[in-house]
Amino acid sequence: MKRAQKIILFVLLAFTVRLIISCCDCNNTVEAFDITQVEIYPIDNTGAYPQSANDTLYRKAIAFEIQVGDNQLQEFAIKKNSFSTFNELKACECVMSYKLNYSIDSITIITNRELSFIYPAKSDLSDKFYASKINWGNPGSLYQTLDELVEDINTYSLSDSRMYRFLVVLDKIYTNSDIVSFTFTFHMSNGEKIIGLSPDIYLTD
Amino acid sequence: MGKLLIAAFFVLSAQTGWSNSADSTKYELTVYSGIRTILCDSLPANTDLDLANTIMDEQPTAYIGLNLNVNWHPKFSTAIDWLIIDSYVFNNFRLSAQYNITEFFGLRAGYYSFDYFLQNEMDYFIDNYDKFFTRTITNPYIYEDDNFFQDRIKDQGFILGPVFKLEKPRFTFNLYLNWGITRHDKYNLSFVAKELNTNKKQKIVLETTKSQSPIFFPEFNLKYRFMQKRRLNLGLQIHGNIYYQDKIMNYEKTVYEWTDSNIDRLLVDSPRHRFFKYEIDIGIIFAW
Repeated sequence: MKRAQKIILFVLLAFTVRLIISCCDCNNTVEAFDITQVEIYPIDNTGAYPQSANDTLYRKAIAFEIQVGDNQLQEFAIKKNSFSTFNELKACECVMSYKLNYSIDSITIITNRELSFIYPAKSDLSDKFYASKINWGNPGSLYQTLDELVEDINTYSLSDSRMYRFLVVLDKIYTNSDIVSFTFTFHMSNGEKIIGLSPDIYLTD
Repeated sequence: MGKLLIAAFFVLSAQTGWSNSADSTKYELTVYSGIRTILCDSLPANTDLDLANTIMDEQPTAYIGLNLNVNWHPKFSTAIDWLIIDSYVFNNFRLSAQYNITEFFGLRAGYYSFDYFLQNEMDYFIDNYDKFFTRTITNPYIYEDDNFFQDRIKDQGFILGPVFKLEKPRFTFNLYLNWGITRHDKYNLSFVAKELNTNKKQKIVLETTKSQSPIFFPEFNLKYRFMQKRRLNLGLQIHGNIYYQDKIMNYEKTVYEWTDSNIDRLLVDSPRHRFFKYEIDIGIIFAW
């Protein structure tokens, strides 16, 4: 066999081996996880797109990002490989899916400070908030009610993450005070309540 | 009376097109190329958004087409036309059937479909937002709900009309005075407006309703046979048409505030626009 033919044969063989071992045998099971942690961050929603903010928000555009998940927020799944050999050659990556162990019954949002005579401290403002998924750099479509958001979270599983992230926004001005803060409570179907506190937010006009 | 009946029989039995000749042809395949122009009136702003104002005036645009004409019987033929214009798919077509009552006169019925572009509908929407939509949002940032791409509309309709024919050994001239009715396919635009400095959002969906319009669609073709080899005939064709309709684009306007469940609906009647389409093309005919 000529040298050139041997080289071509070797290259073809290498491609064939690569092709065969690239096939993934992914385990498609969805793993369950528990919500143990809620984190609240202020969001600047005055422009077209939501952006990270410090502790000061525009009075007419009070908005928060909520991250809810287990203790290892942002954890990525371990890639499962089914072949015991040639692991280092494999190009495939199995995507892990996660869903909640216990569904969410409801989300309540309570003001920690007095907003006005009508809304003293501990008032429930859940029906004054709307929610949406966060698409950074994308203005996104309309909002959902908190009940619709809960239904979405309970229905859909996560890929390679055990953390739900979403935006909640207040529909209009309820206060003239300069500082607000809220308590976000996730009422789980097993009776647990997972609570997240927003930092004190300073309001400007 | 007998002579009259015999004369009528001969007139009604007259054959058409090249199929008249002794070496009659059953099939005609025409490959042609031409240009199309579309013009649509732009009307001054009324009390609501007028979607027909966003129809793009099309500068002369080249197309290529195929026509297959089958003479099933000396008196009856069918034809199908496919056109490629501004893309690589046959997105325009026409079906027709023709019955020749006399040597000089016949009737044709058909169905057609063609599409065309809208332009700057986003700009038109933004420019007129304050005027045409519920003013519950001030200082809006407006964007299209889906990924933006240039939208196109498809018109389809039925035509019926007389055919006037003039035939010579090498020439055939047909004049079609088609009348008909047309409507455009359903089509929708969706925009979201985010009020700057607040959290408020509003979504507006415009979905056209099926609005019929009458059309006048005169058309001609001139065929010249320049070669005959055994059973194959070769010829040239010049074809042109003018398509006119009173275009109307009524639509349903749905305004959503904050969420998809907070809806306000309104049916909007739009004014009629004069819509013209001109086509002229030249082609080679293969007949056998």
